[in-house]
Amino acid sequence: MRLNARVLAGVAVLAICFAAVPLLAATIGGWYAYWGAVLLSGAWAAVLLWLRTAEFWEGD
Amino acid sequence: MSGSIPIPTPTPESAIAVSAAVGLMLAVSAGIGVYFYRRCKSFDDWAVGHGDVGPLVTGLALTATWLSGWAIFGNAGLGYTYGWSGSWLIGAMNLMGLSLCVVLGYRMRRYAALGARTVPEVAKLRFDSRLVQGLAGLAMIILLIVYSVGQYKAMASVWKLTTGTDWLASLLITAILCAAYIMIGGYAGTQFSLALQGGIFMVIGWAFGIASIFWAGGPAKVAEAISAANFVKPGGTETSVSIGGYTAPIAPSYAGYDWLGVTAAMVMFLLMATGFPQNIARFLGTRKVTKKEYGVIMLVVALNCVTPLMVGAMGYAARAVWGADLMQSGPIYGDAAASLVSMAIGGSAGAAVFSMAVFAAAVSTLAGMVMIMATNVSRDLVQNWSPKVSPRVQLMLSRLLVIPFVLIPLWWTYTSPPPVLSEFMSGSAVAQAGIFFFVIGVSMYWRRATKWGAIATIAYGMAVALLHPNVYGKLLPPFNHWGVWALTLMLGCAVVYVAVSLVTKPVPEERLSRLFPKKV
Repeated sequence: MRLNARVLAGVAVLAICFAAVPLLAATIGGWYAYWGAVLLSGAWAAVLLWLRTAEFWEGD
Repeated sequence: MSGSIPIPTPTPESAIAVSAAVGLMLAVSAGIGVYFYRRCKSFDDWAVGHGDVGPLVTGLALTATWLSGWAIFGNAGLGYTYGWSGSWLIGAMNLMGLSLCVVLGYRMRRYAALGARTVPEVAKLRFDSRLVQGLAGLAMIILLIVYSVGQYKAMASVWKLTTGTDWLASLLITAILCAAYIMIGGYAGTQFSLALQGGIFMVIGWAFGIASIFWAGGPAKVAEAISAANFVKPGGTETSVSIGGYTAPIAPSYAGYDWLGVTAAMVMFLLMATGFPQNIARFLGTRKVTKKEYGVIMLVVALNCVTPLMVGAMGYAARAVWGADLMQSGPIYGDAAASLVSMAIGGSAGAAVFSMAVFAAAVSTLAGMVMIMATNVSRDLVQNWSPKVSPRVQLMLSRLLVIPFVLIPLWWTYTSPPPVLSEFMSGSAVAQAGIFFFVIGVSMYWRRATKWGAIATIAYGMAVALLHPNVYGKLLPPFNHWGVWALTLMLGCAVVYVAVSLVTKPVPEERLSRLFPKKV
C-alpha cells in the first residue's frame, strides 16, 4: 500500500468527516445536523472514490 | 396531542390499490426471475450469473440489499419514537459504510474468477480452509435468520395498516412469490429484480420524505414539535425524557442513550455494510468496470443512501402532526408512521405506492439473504464436507432450501414480532459488522490474516452477540448498555482478528500469490 502525502490527506479528510457528524449533532442539532450528516457522508464517499480510482485502482 | 389532520384508517379502496401495486411489483420481479431461468444452466450460473452485471444494476442491487424494511419502513418508527436521537439508527451516515463496501467489495471479483460462488467460499480460498468456510456459513445463517424477521414485520405491518386485513395471508403470498423468483432466477434474476426494487424505493422514498415535511407545516414547525416532545413508551405512558436532542437517556439498552452508544452506532454503520454478506455478494457477478463506471456505482449508492433519511423525516412529520398518539396502539406503535403519513398525503394511491416501496425494500433484502442462506447450506456445508456432490444436486438442493429459509423467519415474525423494528435488527447487524467486516472485507486486503484469526473472530463475535442487552447482557452489567456491548463486540473482533493472526502461522506464500498478485 502506497502511503504518500495525497493518500494521507485523503484519510485525514475521511477522519474529519466521520468526527464532524456527532460534533454537529452535539453543537447545532436539529435539521442542520440531520442533513449535515448527509453532506459529510457525501464528502466521505467522494474522497473514497478518488482514493480508489486515483491511488488504488485495480485494473485486473 | 392530535393535530387537525386525522389519523387515516384503511378503506376498501386502499386495500384494492395496495393489493394491485404490491402484486404488480412482485409479478414483475418474478417475471424477471422467469426470464433469467432460461439462461440459468448450472449451479454457477444460478449462484453468480455470468459475471456480466454492469455498474447501474450493481449499484441499485447493492442499495436494495442494504436498504431493507429497516430503511424504508422502520426508520420512520425510529424518528417518531425517539426524535433526533433516533437518527443514529436511522443511519444518518449510512453512506459512509456503503461507500466503504463499494471500495472493498470490488475485489470479490478476483475471488469469483478463482471459483468462489458464495461469500464463505471467498474465505475458503483466502485461508485455504474448509473449516473457515463452514463456520462462516453457519454464522451467516444464524445472523441472517434474525435479520430476516425484520423484513416480514415491515411487510406485515404495511399490509395490516393499509388494507385492514389480517397479515398472515399477505405474508404467505409474499413469501411464496419471493421463494419462487429466487428458486427459478437465482443470482442474475435476483440481481436484476433487486435493481428494479432499489430504483422503486429510491424514487418513492425521496418523494414522500420531502412531501411529508411540507405536509407537516415545514421544517421549522417539525423541528419545533420534536424539540418540545418527550419519549412515550409503547402503550402510551409519557416519560420526562426529552427527544429533542441527539441523545435521549431512555434506557442503557437504547443506542441513542448517550454518546458512547452513539459512537457504537456510528462504528456499526461504518462496518456493517461490508459485513453484510448479502451486500458484498453483489460484486461476485459484477463485470470489470472502468473508472467512470465505478463512479456510476458510487453515485447510485450515494443517491439511494439518502432514502433512509427521507423515511426518517416521515416519522418526524408524523410526530409533529399526530403527537404520540401512535404509541398507544400495538403491536405496530410508532412503526406505523410512514404508512399512515403516505395515506394522509396521497390517500389510497399514496398508500399503494408507498406499500409497493416497502415491499420492494423488504423483499429485495429478504431475497438476497435467503439466497445466501440457501447456498450456505448447499455449497458451504454440504458440498464443503462432501465434495463429490454434483453441481446438479447442489442446484436442486439450493432451490429447495429457499423454502425453509423463507418460512423460518416468517413463523418467528408471526408468533413474536419485535416492538421497534430497526432497534431489533441492529442486534444482528452489530454481529455481522464485527465478524464479517474483518473475516471477509479486511482479509481480501491484509496478507497476514490467518485462518485461526478468522476462526477466533467468528467464535468471539458469536459468543459476545449473546450478551446483547436484551438477551443475557441485561444480567451482566455493563453489557446491559448497548454501546458497551456493541463496541465490545466490534472492536473486540478487530483485536482478536489482528492479534490471533499475528501469532499464528501465515497462509503459505504460494497460496497467497494468486490472491495478491504483484503489480507489474
